[in-house]
Amino acid sequence: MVTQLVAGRTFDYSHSIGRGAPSGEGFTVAVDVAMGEGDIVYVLNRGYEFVPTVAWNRAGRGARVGIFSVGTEAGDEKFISEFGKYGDARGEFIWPAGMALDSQTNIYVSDEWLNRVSVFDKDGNFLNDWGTPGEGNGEFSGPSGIAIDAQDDVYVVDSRNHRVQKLTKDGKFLLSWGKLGSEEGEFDSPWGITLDQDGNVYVADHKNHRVQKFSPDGHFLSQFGSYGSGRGELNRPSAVTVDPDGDVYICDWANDRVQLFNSEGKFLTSFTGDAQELTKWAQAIVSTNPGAVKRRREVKNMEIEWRLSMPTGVTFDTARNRLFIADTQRNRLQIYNKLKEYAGPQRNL
Amino acid sequence: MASENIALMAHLMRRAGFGATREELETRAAKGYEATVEELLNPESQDGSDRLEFFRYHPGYRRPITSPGMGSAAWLHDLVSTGRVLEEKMVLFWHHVFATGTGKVDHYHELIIQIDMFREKGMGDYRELLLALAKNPAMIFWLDNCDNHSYAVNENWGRELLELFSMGVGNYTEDDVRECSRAFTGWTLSPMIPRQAYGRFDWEFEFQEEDHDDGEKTFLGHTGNLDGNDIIDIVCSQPATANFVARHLYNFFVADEPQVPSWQDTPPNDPEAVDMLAKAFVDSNYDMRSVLRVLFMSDFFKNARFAKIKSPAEVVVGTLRMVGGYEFPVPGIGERSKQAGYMGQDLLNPPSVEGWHTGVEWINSGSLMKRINFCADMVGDVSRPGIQSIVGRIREKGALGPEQLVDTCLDLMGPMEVIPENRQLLVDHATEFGQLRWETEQDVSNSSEKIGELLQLVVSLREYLYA
Repeated sequence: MVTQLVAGRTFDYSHSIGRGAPSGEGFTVAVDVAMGEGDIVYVLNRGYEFVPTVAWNRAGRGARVGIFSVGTEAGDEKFISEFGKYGDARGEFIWPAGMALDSQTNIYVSDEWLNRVSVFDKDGNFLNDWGTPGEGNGEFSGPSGIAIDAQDDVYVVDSRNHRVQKLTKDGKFLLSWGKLGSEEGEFDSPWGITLDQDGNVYVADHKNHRVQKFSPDGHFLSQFGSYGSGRGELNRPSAVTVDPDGDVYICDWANDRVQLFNSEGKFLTSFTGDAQELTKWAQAIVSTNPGAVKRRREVKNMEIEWRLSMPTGVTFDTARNRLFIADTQRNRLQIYNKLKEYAGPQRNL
Repeated sequence: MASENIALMAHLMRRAGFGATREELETRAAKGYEATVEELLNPESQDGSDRLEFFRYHPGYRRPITSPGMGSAAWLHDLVSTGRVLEEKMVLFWHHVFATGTGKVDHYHELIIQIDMFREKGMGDYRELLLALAKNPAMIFWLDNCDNHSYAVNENWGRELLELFSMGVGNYTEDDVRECSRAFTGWTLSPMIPRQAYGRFDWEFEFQEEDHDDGEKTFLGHTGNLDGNDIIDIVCSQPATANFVARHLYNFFVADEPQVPSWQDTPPNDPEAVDMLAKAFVDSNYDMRSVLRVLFMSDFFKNARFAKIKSPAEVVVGTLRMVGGYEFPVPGIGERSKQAGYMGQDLLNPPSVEGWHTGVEWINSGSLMKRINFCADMVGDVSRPGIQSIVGRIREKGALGPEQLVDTCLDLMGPMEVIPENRQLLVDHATEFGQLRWETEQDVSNSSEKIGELLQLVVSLREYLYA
């Protein structure tokens, strides 16, 4: 099933882009996606420690933001450029975690080890950074999810301080809420964050296995999900996004899926991944290896390859009404169109 | 000086775990030795490692690429952060006995799956463990059982099952190897999605009935249409298997034995102890938990303090746990994962199916230098929480003369027993310090640094090589 009709909505799997690559045409543990101008899509790559013979702060591979053009058809994706690399100098990343764009299309990247937010222009030129370690106002312990509202104020999930902080785009403290716990308005190691069109704030409350919804100033409004692997249940959610209709998509990280709820919190359906065709860049690499081509023809069931594996980021492309899922462990993005109009075939075909 | 209870508890925790802080030793000593053994054997009330937290911060290590020495990072995090220390020590034990390596498998995640299987079954029924091992994809690939066909027998798995995983050389014939291997034909892997493009996929065991030799076989005197399950039943019932497992346990937990290849013609150092463990193995119907209980409660175990040279894994894990701060998977996990390899024990990459040679063979001029440098770097950083705790305890004692300071350090680092000459070296160094002072911040900093220096000397002593 690649087309889902659910409660008056139609979701149609479009295509996927990506492959594993330390730079260029592909990703290295893609953890977040953001929409730029036109066809531009930014992909945040976590990278990983790899080089064993140098100090840990120079030992990483693949951490970066990739800039891509992504049209509407499979195969029309193009690599444009990339910026950032593993390291602790300014403009570099150790544990890049979240990404958001402001009204000027500047790109904000959180780093949950260096405890700072780095800001780049839309072409990836480093502008500035802010944030210091600590527990005080405006200080961070593990800044992860990040979102920017219409006034260009920045919401940062301060994960290991178990709170959300709202700051100006220059990092000046405005307000915060939350503490360690499992009651309403409390968090346990929160991760991703998003805003809806009214400025309400949704936080992936990672170890409490739920998403909490707050007013723009941090008053608890409602919550989505509970622990488990069944319908409407979550296991360590990592990210959340809301579409213009108010539908809420939650990255159900440890259950290898994205869960969809309506705005009232009713569970609607799951996205588990539908990448039955290799991406353009994946096809290119597989076709160069005759052994891989042969082996793929021997495999009895390829379904595991279609499916999401620990998806970490989810973003709704409002311009094209489609969902991007960062299929992290598979180094690709899976894209689902939310169709405005869908004329189904006659039922008795 | 530490009480006898603390010293005995420290011995237990070095062997059944990876050492313990003085605070933990005091808590455990208050509970009692037997109660602690039971808690170690039944760890359900303790928290294990949070593997998901590790992947949350190191997602690239979910199914890592082949980065030599670094693919064991997820397991190193388990070793360092688990509260279930004996459970994890048994994982290390079985990895040593059923040595499987990335050098051939080239798929770290499959090895981690095998490691997870050892965690699940390592303190349970040895028969179930062997059966799971026979179906473990990494093992099937490692010992070529995927190339063991009804029409062309491959004896690699069948031979090692008998030689290295259960009975030991000299307890079976070449015909038994052949018949054993025939029984495992068709125990294979499903064709695996290759890694190109999207990274590693998990492998799966598959029984291919059409490729299984279901003819009559005769194995160790038993005749019939034997399959792998029957072979494992027969293997487990052999006295040689009980003795082999018992000797491995003795070598790992009690005192260094000669290397495995010599076991055929070299008797155990303590035959009565090995017999006691073998009897427990048989009496309990192969229940490893029961055998371990007998082992830890025995006099031969309690009297074997510092009779073993620590393995590199024990050095690295024990040191990281002692200095603290690594329960959270901070960056540098790859670098930390390499350390045991530098000392001669590259986890998930043993030199062969025989595993590592132990005891004095852990030590050569290169590995010794790596050990000492690693430990000295760790304990010399007095900002680490575990070292801060040691400094705090020394400070609480007030003014200490050089001899008292040295004895206190040796006590808190073990308690350790050292020869007089080595103790005098430490005392000479401490004498150069002069009196430790704690009145000002600068005093505290200076005194902490001096204690750090002394601890560096302690971990450089020959005695620190031993557990």
